[in-house]
Amino acid sequence: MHVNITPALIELCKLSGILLLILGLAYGYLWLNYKLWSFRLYLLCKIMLGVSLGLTLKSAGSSWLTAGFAICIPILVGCYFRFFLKGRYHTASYFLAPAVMGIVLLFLYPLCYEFYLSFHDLNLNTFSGWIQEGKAPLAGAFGLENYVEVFQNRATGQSFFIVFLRTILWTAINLFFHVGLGLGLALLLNTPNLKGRALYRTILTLPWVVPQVIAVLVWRADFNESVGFINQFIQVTNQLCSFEFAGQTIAPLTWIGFQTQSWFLNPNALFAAACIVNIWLGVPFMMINALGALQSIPQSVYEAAAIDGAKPFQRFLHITLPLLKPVMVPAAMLGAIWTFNNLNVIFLMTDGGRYEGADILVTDLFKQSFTYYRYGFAAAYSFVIFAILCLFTFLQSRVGKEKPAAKKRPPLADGAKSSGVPLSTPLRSTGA
Amino acid sequence: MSSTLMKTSLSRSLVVHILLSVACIVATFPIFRVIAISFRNTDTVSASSQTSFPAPGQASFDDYIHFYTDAILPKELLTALKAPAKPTAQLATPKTDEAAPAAPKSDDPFAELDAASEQKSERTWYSNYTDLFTKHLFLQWIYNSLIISLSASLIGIILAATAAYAFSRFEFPGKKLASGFLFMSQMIPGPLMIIPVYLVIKSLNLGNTYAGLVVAMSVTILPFSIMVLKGYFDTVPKSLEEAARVDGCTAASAFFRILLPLSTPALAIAFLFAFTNAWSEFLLASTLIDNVELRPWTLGLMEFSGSYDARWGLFAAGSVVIALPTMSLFLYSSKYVISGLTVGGVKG
Repeated sequence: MHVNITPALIELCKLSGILLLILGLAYGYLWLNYKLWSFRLYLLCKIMLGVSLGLTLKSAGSSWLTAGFAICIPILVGCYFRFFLKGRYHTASYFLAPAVMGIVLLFLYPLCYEFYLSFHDLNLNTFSGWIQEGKAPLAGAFGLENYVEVFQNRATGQSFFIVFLRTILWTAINLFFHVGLGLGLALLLNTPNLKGRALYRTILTLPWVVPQVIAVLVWRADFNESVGFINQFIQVTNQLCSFEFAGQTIAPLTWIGFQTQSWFLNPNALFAAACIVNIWLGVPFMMINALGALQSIPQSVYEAAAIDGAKPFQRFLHITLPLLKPVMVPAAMLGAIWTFNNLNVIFLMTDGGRYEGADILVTDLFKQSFTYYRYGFAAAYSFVIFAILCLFTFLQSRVGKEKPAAKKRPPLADGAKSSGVPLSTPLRSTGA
Repeated sequence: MSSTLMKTSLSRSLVVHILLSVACIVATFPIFRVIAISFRNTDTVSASSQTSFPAPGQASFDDYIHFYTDAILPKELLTALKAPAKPTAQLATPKTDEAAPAAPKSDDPFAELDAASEQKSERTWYSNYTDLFTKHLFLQWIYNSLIISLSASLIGIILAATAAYAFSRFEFPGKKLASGFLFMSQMIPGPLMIIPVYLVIKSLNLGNTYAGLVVAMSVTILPFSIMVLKGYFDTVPKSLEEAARVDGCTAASAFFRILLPLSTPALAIAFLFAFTNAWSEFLLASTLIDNVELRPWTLGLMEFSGSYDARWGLFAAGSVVIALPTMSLFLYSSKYVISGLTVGGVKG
């Protein structure tokens, strides 16, 4: 029961001091630029400032990237003030400045750094040189070898396309079950006059609420070959429910595809286990989204349809689904990106990459950089993944834009508007 | 009215209840499991080992019932609650069975040591919990996580709120580019940033400190928070601030006095998101932090559940200690959280 409280507090005080200092510097810098932007020599001064700063950094022993960044930043800021701001937009820039500083330093700069790394051959052999002198050999003739290697020479022994296909499969399976089960549960919960709806909803939200790390680790414990519950459950339930049919003993769980096995050593089983865990984790999010949308559909629309003689299935197909669309499509899109980029589940299920064969792109990337220490390669790899994801999102947004225009139903225009209402007043949309 | 049109028959509502109950069992099963395991006095996950279940034909119905209930009910806790006088006597019996075959092998040099350590630690139903706090630095880890995630999300939210205000209310050159960048940043694969962020933090001389982790995390959650907050700010009518501006408010005080108080729910959502994000973060922490004393709880739990020397009892107890407050916090606010997410995060 020993807790060291003081070091953290002292450090936080220091941190807040540094932050305030940086904030003050940023505002001073902004103010100075607003004062000076109209002078004739402003841009020239900025260029000289940038170059001298960059050269100082370079001579102090940092890499060309850092020096280049130091050269570019003042010049870009100067150009922005001179040609775009022109002394206007005071308030906006003062509000933006702190966030921009943080993002440039710890988001944009690392991103450029990574991009720069992706053209260099940085691994454990060259790492010390990189740290001390800021130098690493260019990868291949034009530095493009890393990008070629992504598709050819991979330490894991699994080709890029296998991993890519597995990622697609992973995203598709998870999204299908998330949306399907989530929608199904939401429809069940939306049954009129359901008793105990709030209780059911609370219980069904639980998987979303448990910290992901804990949930996945608990599942991993249960998938353990010898001591885990899943194997025992399969065995005992099979024993309980098996029956004779046409001379053969049929065990129901084995019959639908479950059998006792070492879940972590068989790649397919490991992948299936990871899918099960992720489905369990992700259904509540879709369920609550769908439930919020369902509850926002006014009963009168259904009544009107019923009076017009629409069967329940027709009502579902022509009222519920189209009205769910504006909520569920963006949610599914977000879910797809999250699933595609979901490192946690597979990383933890494979015990940090110890068990092979179920890697998706993101975990493979992690393994390349932290198990095989191929930093330059991993940088190139991550940009390939990023490009794939951007392409997908672009295509999806194109498809999403075209569809509503083609499928517009004039009679439901009114209802569609009313389903838009909870989106603009968001905090009531999921109230029971 | 609707009740006459949409009457649900008894059988249909029964089916609905059954389906929902099954879903509830699946949803809560691992939670019951982890609570049950946390009260076991051994380190195994299972109540009964695989071989001990009777062969087909010999198992009675009671055996099955026992198997299923043992898996999810904290047996030790229940017996301790029923008969608080002698909880250890009951628990000692399975232990001696296990120890018996090990004892005769006296040529094992560590047998005595093992036996000694077995005897010394008299385990009761709560000993996993006491071990957690006395033998490991668990409280310190929780404290670290709390400090790191609170300060990271606080800094992140302050920066995000001001930036989101600028995005929502003002036009400035490069705004489209910037919002495009924010949206793109959602798609950046997580491991991409780790190495360069690590190098930046190292070069700022903040490696292996709380401050480095706080700074790195607060910036990582920035884009998402900006998007959530901007989505909400867009829904607050502009005329409120304009009225204040007419009465002589500056833009800054209109922001602090009008917009921020109006958007406390969204701020709470964004804070909660940032907090949980930082609270269960382990990738950055595992690269930036070497010191055991500075670890967040995620790394500690991952160590307990390592594949070669898993201590599931400790792990389960730790999970329960972490998860219960987090879960209650989230359940309390879940409806706000999810709706806020859809409005801000998706519509961008």
